[in-house]
Amino acid sequence: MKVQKHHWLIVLSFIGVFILAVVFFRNAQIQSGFLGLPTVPCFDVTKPTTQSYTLHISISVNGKDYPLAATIGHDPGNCLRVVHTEDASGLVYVETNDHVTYTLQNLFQVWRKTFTAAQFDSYQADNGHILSVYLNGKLQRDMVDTPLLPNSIIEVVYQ
Amino acid sequence: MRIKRRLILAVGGAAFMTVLFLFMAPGASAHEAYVLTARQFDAGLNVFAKNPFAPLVDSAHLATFLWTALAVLVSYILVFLWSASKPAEILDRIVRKAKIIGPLIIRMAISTSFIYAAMSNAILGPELSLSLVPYSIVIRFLLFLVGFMVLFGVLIELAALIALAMFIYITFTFGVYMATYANYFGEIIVLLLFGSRYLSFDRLILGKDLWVKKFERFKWLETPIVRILYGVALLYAGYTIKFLHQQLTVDVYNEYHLVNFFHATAAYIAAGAGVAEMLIGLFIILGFAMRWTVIISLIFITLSIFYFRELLWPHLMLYGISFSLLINSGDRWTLDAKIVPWFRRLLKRKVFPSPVE
Repeated sequence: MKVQKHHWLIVLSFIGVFILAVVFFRNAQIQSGFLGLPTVPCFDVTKPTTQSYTLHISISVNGKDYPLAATIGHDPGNCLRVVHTEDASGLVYVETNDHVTYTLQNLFQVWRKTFTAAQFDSYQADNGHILSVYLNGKLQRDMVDTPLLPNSIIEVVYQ
Repeated sequence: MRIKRRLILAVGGAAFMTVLFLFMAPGASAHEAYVLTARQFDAGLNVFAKNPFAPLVDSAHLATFLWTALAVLVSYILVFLWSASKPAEILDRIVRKAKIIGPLIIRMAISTSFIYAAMSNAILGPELSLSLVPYSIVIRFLLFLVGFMVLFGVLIELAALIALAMFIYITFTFGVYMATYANYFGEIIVLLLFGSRYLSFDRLILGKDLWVKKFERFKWLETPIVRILYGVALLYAGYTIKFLHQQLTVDVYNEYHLVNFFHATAAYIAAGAGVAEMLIGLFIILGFAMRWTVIISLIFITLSIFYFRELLWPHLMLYGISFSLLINSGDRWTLDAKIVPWFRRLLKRKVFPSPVE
């Protein structure tokens, strides 16, 4: 009986939480925040270094330079991720205690930027926009798995 | 007039929950490093310990293990002595007055856990990535929807039904590992059967009555369901992570150089932590020295957050259940409900006999 009497309140409150869920969902789909498990370990200075090299990564969005952050991989609590930057020049350092080949996806995970075949940060590939990745000038089919190789040049282009 | 009062309560409740949610936000995202990476976690799950008890009873650690066990035993005896005292009885009555907020705390915990999990593209825990689940985009949206429905108390039973369907659905992906999250299952069942009307829009719309009125007489089962399934989750996690796949705990110990803190081998600490977690789980299932056991578990949880810089949001549920159990301790299915009154009578008879006798 009460349900019939206040049915408008049920509808209203449900619409309220539904809208809230939609807003948060849309935001989460495009936001750069990442609170899950990192897939890239911390570099342990007490263990032997098995890989140590640099490579260059540049990103351009609609023809404009999109610089890498200077503190990628410098996580709080004395953790330096094995994939990291030291400045905003685009130079990426790979220093590891393992023999794993890290990928472009790993860099973006550490940076906490969304990076899929169809999206970089909040830029989505759609009818009018294309997202592409070049490794040493060669177009990569599997963009997210582009390996971070020594002395290589990687370009991420969104236009 | 009544509807106006209920409206004020519902809106006030929503505002209160929003403030709490916002208050938790910085904390939940501050701890970004989890103990192990996904790769290390998967690798650890493939290593099975041959004799996980061995480090506890080897010649180097046996004495320490026995002294620790004795200290724990003495603490539990002291707790029972305290429980039988008059001040403890008075304190118990005061704490129980807050029992109305027990379900509210749990509602807050489960809703924020769902919302933060959705933000992290995970479900229930950070290691259960939604990227492994088919149709994850739908699940992610539903996590937000269910989270907000429960947070503001809008059609809570329906939200719980959706949550239950999600739990069953993701079990097809993660299998028996989902036993680690049996505490969520317990919460969802309780919300499905009994709702949570205090400070909710449901109270305003539906009143106090449950959707199925017959469930009213089973409402006393709320706490036992939550308690037992929480205990099962701890017991399972303690057994699998710290015993069956002891390498995981050993990796954490080595990664954080905890030898500088504990001055013992990784295997001994892993086995000791496993025994502690399983005993805590078992005591919670049995309802044995509930408040003391829950306080010990809270100390463990808090230390792990601060020491390992673990993510906060996966622990919100554990805090919620723990605080709820601290308030609603000693339901009729606990050993405490049997032992404490007996102990009280025994002490009165033997230690403080009445002058008439």
